[in-house]
Amino acid sequence: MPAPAVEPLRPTGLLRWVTTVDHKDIGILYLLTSVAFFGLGGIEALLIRIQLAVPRNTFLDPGAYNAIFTMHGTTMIFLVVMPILLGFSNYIVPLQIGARDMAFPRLNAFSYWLFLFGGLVLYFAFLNGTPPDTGWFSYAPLTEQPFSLESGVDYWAVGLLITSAGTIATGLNLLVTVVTLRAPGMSWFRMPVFTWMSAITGWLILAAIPALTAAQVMLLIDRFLGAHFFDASRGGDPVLWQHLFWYFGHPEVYIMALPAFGIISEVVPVFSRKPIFGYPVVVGSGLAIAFLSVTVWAHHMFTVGMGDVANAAFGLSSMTIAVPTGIKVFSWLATLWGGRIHITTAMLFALAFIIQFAMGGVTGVMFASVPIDWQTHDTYFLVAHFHYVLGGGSLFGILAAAYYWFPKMTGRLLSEAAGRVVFWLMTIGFNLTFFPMHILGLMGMARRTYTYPDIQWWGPINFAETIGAFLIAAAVLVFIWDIFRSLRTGVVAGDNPWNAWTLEWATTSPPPAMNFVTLPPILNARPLYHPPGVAPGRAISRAVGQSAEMTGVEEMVGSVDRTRNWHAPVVGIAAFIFSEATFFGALIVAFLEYRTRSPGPSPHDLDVPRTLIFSFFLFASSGTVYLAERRLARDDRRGFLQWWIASIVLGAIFLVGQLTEYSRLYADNIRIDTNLFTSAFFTLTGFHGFHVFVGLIALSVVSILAFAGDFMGGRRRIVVDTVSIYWHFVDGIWVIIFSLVYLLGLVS
Amino acid sequence: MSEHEHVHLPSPSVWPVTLAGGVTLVGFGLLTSVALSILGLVLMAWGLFGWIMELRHGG
Repeated sequence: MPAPAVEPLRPTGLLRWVTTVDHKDIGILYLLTSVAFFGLGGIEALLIRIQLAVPRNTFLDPGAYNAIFTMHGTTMIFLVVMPILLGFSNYIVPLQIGARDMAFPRLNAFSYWLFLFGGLVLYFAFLNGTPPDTGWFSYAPLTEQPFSLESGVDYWAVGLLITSAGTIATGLNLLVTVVTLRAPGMSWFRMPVFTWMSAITGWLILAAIPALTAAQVMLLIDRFLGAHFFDASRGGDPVLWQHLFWYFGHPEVYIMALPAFGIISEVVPVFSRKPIFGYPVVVGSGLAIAFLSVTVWAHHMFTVGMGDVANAAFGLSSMTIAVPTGIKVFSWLATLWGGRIHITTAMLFALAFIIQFAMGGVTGVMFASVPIDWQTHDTYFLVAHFHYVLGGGSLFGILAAAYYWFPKMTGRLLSEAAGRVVFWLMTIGFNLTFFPMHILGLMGMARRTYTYPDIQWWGPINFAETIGAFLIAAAVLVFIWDIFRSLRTGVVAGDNPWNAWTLEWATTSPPPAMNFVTLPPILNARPLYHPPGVAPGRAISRAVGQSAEMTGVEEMVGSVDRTRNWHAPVVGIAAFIFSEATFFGALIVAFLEYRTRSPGPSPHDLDVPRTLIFSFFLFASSGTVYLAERRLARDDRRGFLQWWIASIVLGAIFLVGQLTEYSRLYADNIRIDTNLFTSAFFTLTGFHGFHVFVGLIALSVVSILAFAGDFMGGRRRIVVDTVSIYWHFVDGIWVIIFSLVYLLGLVS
Repeated sequence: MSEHEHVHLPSPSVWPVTLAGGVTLVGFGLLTSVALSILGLVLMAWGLFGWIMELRHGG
């Protein structure tokens, strides 16, 4: 393979990793950082298991136990499983679609640093002596003053807000990358299933995580500014916290499962030497799971007392989601059926995944049945269920991916012999730890409790579970030792050690900075597939330099694959707006619930005509932005700047109107902590005002650049388009907010 | 692919980590000292400025 034509100058050492924008480096950073956090979350798990090894143990006091199990859950979900999978997506997806990098390489680096820094802020709480101790779900009102006076909850919320911002940006980046950066010929239904699942996960991140962000913002406003969103003693609704949390929390399960499904859908076919059974159905079921996953959240709340209708509806939707999930399991089984099965370590983990994930799925369907949930919700049966999904499922998928893609990332194979040791330690340890929890749960052992009475069999079963946990720890240690060993002395892998057929195997291991020197023709979903008997390299070498053939492919699929030509920044801003819709949706839900819920100030205290006048300034600014863009299209710099600056002035007038409205309300003693209406009113309109402020900064930057001569002759017009779209969104959402906050008060 | 003579990859950049550091300090400052939040805002502004200038110069 010839040397890449252009390699940018790269710093070395630590500076290289701090400044990198290469998706492969960032993928590795995600993986390494998540493994470090896995060490912390794992130590926390062992502390939990030591405490529970025998009845009435005093190894941890109740307060310490609360902190440890809170941090274990928070760490594993936000700092381990989700970012490890994002790390694999980061590394592999651009390679699988034949792209040079992610759509927004700098944003990609930014996301990673937010993830790392957010995790560090969260863990700083330990150094501060105030670790979060209210559970990874942080149910109100426990998280409110005066029940949690120390700052643990604040660290939990702020740390996760920072991390989540990075996650949302990565979800957006993945989605835009898949939509716009596919190589010629890589049409939607030729994409590897892992890429499909990563893109769907990207969408789901945008749909779900902003609900948590909004809930955490409201929680912080309660704690810092004395609002009452979730404060039951002042009429606030702790159940709203649960709704918002699980609106995020259940899709989160699929954010951690869909990429693992994708991994299994790569590993099982390759080591069965067959294409995946029912490719379109596997992809379609992934889409179905994602869409259904935002309709099932309240099955986490059957014990709250939502009433029969809500319980039945959410029970039904939760059972429905078992259908597409079951379809996936059956298509993996059908792929295995009649295949030439190669039992590699990656394949072993994939096979164990199928069995263990199916077990977690089956108990999941049991929980969808409301009466069963009532009896078992707060028991170890539930702990067993979700560990089979996220441990036996996602974690085993991650290990399959590690063994499958390690040679691509490093150029060396992990040891198959050590891999067998890791696999059996892990599988025996995992099942020994978590299977007996089903039994303990059905016997009535309560979860989230620091100890348990000496009831017959509980002690021995718990002790066995603790032994299992240490077997898992041993498996992890052997795995990490083998990584270090293989990096130095592992067998050299070559480009395609598994004879796999997706594009990441068409380049060197590890790939060059530019990923590919040449791409093979992409005529189907398995571009590197060669029938038995044909030399592996031939299909590739035949294609080198045949750009005429590539053009032909492009023409063939061009008519049905227009999304490749969409502009990444425009798709990106659309995805961003989609995530903002979730965020504002959560704030609007809170406002609608609280607008007339408590005595005192209400929407009738608002000065509607005054705000209407200021709103016209904002609406007008959308028009002037449109006029500015038309001038720009004619290369009329003066005209563009005039209308553009007019937009800034109009937007600023709107903001002045809002600020003076606030000061008038405060003068009348209507403050954010007055009652539920004022809490919701100031939060919703305040966050809109903040968006206007950010938009004004963006508009100002564009005008400064335009003064400096940018954007003329069509250069970087896309920047102006993107800022315009954002501004129209800020105006458009105000139509909704103004109607619900101000106009609704007039008619009701 | 015949285009590999003019492959353009973005150069390494200090601005993403600068901006992320600024955002983090703003949040961390709310929990500790407002002075850190102000420092965070300054860092954010600096990071954003550097990022935009880098984009302008064809990064």
